[in-house]
Amino acid sequence: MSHGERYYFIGPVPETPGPSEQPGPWGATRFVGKAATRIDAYERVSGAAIFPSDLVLPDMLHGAILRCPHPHARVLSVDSRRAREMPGVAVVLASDRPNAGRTGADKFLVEHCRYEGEVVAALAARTPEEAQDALRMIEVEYELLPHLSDERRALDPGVPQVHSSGNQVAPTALYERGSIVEGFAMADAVVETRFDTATQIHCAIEPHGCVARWDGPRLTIWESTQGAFSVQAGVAGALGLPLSSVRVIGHYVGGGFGAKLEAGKYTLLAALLAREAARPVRLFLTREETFLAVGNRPPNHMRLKAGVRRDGTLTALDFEASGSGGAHPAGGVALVDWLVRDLYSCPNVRTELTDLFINAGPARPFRGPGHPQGAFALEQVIDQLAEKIGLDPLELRLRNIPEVSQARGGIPYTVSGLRRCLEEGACAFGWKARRAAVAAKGESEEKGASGPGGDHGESKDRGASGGLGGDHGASEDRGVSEGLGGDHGASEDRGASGGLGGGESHDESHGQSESKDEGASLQRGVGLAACLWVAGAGGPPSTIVLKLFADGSANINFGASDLGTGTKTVMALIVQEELGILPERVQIEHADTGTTQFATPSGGSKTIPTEAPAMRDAALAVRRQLLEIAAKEVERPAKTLAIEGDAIIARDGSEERWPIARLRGLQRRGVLIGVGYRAPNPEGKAISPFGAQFCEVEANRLTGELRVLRFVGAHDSGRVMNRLSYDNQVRGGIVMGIGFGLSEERRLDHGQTGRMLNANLHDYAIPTALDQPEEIVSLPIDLPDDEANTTGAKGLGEPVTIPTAAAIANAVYDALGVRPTATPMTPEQILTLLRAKREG
Amino acid sequence: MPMDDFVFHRPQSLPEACALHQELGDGAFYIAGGTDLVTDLKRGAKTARHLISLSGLAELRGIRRDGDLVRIGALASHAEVAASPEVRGAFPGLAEAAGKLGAVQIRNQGTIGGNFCAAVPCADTPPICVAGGLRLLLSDGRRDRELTAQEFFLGPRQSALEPGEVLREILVAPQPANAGASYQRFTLRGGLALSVASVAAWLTLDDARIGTARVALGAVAPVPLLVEECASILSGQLPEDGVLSEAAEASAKAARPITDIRGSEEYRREIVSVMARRALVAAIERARGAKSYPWERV
Ligand SMILES: Cc1cc2nc3c(=O)[nH]c(=O)nc-3n(C[C@H](O)[C@H](O)[C@H](O)COP(=O)(O)OP(=O)(O)OC[C@H]3O[C@@H](n4cnc5c(N)ncnc54)[C@H](O)[C@@H]3O)c2cc1C
Repeated sequence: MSHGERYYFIGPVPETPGPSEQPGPWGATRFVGKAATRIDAYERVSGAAIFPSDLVLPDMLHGAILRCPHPHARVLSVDSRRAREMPGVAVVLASDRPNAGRTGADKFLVEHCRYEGEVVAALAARTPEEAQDALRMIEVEYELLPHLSDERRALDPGVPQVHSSGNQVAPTALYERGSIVEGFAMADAVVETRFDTATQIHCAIEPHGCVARWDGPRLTIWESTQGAFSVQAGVAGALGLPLSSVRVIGHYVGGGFGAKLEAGKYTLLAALLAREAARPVRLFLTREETFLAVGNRPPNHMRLKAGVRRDGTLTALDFEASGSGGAHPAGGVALVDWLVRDLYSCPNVRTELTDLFINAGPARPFRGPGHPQGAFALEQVIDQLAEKIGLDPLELRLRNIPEVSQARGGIPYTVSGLRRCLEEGACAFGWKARRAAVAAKGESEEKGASGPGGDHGESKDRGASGGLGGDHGASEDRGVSEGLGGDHGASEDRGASGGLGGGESHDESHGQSESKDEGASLQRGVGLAACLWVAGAGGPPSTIVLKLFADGSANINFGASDLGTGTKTVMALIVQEELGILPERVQIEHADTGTTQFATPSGGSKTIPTEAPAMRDAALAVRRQLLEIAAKEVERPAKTLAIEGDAIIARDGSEERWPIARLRGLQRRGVLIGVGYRAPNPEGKAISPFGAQFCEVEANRLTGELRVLRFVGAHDSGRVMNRLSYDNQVRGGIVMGIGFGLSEERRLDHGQTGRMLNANLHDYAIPTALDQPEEIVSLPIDLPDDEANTTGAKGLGEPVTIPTAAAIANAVYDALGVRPTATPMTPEQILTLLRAKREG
Repeated sequence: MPMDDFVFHRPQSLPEACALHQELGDGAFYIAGGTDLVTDLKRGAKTARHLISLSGLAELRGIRRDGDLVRIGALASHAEVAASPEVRGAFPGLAEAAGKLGAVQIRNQGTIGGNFCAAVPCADTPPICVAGGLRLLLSDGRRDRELTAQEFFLGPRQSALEPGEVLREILVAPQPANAGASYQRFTLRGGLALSVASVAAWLTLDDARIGTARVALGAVAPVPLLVEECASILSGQLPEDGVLSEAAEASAKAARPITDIRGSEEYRREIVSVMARRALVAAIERARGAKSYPWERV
């Protein structure tokens, strides 16, 4: 699969009609960009919002799926007779063998199971418990086949083959520009490092699933999805139905992160079960199934060699990566090299990507596919280069900012905020002073011995102040903090900050002494990392309908999903901006293939830049009609009129007002309809969001524990559309990045059963509330990209998680002088690195 | 995940519960908070025909003072133990351990009795009880017997309970005024995580010198492990860096950890040494009279 295809179309899109007019850019806005509460905040908080998994229909059955418990096995026989006899069971989809009673579901049931979690059978029963009980009565005999769970061994001789064609998905993909040989010849300093990133699971709060109901030949599906129309197309295609017979509704979705962009096998099974049973079927996966079978960020193994001149000019980047999207092609290395290709100016670049099969569950796009992995390698190597040539890592980045997208044939960016993200983020973080303080400690001192510098006195003391941060209980499980005789009261909650000496002893530098005093073994460091995101431009098609009612209230009708990112609210703000209609007088209908227009799935951080311009176009179409009606009635040229709040006003300074609700023309029509379309993106231009993140970590030399103290996320995603949901994305993205960096990892039982060892939320460690930094600052670099589209917005949801882990790794190096090159950066890894360093 | 069918019983007295267990025999399990047992049943690690709920047994409820003893009913939840003025007064180290365990929901639902009887090596409340030399009251419905906490644990998921026998109470004997104890555990995230390794320390201070000292380890041996060497290393010494380090090293050496998804054998040993130090430092401070409950939200 080529880069990002799941997210956005490559090549020309069959054009929707052009927008009705190409309005000028907004300039200053009155409503867009302010901090607006979500229009569905009440529903979400009160529980009134009906998520697909909340839906209960009369006569509804509960579906369940029997999945292969082995990483690699062949189904020898299936006997579902006992299951069919179980209480409550209405229908069983199983290909009983031998004496095959073939079912319509055969093409979805797998005989040769290549990962733990492949679908073997399904059934529906009166209650979820009866369904689960019956599932266990399906007798399946498996022939166990040798399995491969470690992609690093996929090409070794003699290892088990996932497919008869071998363990490589496709020939190694090569990208090359310039000549790395010449590039390295020009370099004054060269570094080469290997990195490994672990498999991360999406862990959306709402599991995958749907409720399916047939009404004669027509099917309605309520699905937890990022794209109602892509589910519709998938289901219609698989079941041979016209699109018009499949209605998919996805009003709310409890998180997707890329794993809910299309119909799942579970969707099709729910539809088939419901058809056989002639009753609605609810089929939601168990948490355990979501760990195994519906997506992950694939594991990657990378090698990056880079050259730089003494003046900080990058001369060559040589990158090699492998990875695995599981047992079937699923983009195991998709976009892993994009940042190496395009984040910094470099004439000589070579990348090599090898996608491999293993006997494990499938990858799916996951918040910035490939990018956090690539950033983990690139952004650490940039720091290594900076150290080699004695340049501040911030400065090295600033010297290599590209004006063009080198990986896209050298076309210029509409706007690149990379420099501003780095500079303004650094300023907000206090980077320069912090680095200067480190440098001032003198070169004689060994790396890692330097304690925190002077300019962050406030943040250091903050922890000890027992204030907001201090009492959040993070230390519950984090060990004691009181020192012997020290003044420990204030530091109680701050983990092991006091030793025998007590007090806040980690101000000074501690050298490499092997002190067991925990206060002295806490060391702080700062790190930064930058990013761009390959997509995030959005583009056609989008068709949005706005209806203005006779009383001046309105209805917005669009097909895209609101993933929880606040899309609906932004749409209402746009309507308010153009028509003055208050959000509470706007009703929204969306993500329903029966009543709204086609939309591409919400993913790739493209929802706002795709839908917002079409929304604006629809609002302008309504405005034009409204002003025309008003012009006739008040007998003035439309040009001299404007809309303000619920009235038409004269723009001649006369302060005359005519309430919209009293316009007779509007009363008689009853409704004005504006249809908005998304214009194409500018030709010959690249559009990307950019960002830079800065963090401070505290490392414990004795345990290897890392605590992230604070983060600054400076992001250029074009115009800020809603400051509240913007900050929300920045915080959420950073927290997810912390999980990727510090604790999340799918553990497979290599060399033994090959099964997943931590397929639950207890053993698979996403960060809890107690693992958050006390402070995450969102610093929007509000740079409306007026060339990109008529709202000036670019995508935000993905870039915010891309540089996080890399920034932490750089901060760890700053603190300890050792470089964690694998995620998750566990305490054990840190301790191993420290030991290796000590032992030379 | 599915469970096999079982019959649920809710006896109203200890003798009734024990008689029922005897009558039902194999396939009958006592259930307290269910946080351990139900996950086992769902995983298929255990198959129950009968669940005998202990929740109706007044004999196992409550935390109360009885003369100079504090009796902790086996059904006390971790949250109750952590918040109990009696436990905090008599043996704050146990309140600390209960307060650090699991996460809020688990502390509300799980019981101290269940934590003992499941006898999982990484359980959080046993090590401090072993270090503190606490005694346990067991009952088969007719006769009670007492064991030390240390004697109770025989191996991973194996306790000294006879079939049908119930853990009734954890007994906290009066503590010397100069005693202090602390429990330190290491986890891979801030909450909702099992211990990678843990250490409980109990000691007395006589005129600035350590009197008696006991150190017990959790999650690094088949049972909560009392480190015999620590007693002799520490007793009679001033609580200084070198001595504490020596005790910490002895603890690490005594540990018999395994490698699993939470950490390797070697790493666990290193963590034991750090936790031992933390526990000793905190215990010394408490022995000096510091009253602090850092595990508690203010
Ligand atoms: C998400 C999660 C996180 C957890 N985290 C931790 C943690 O951090 N630290 C930790 O130590 N544990 C943890 N646990 C394990 C468990 O919650 C605790 O061990 C808890 O104390 C068990 O108590 P319970 O009342 O729920 O036991 P139950 O599940 O009811 O019983 C456990 C076993 O003990 C037996 N039993 C219970 N009470 C008695 C009695 N009075 N007499 C005789 N037999 C009895 C039962 O028959 C059963 O075999 C966790 C569990 C979960 C699910």
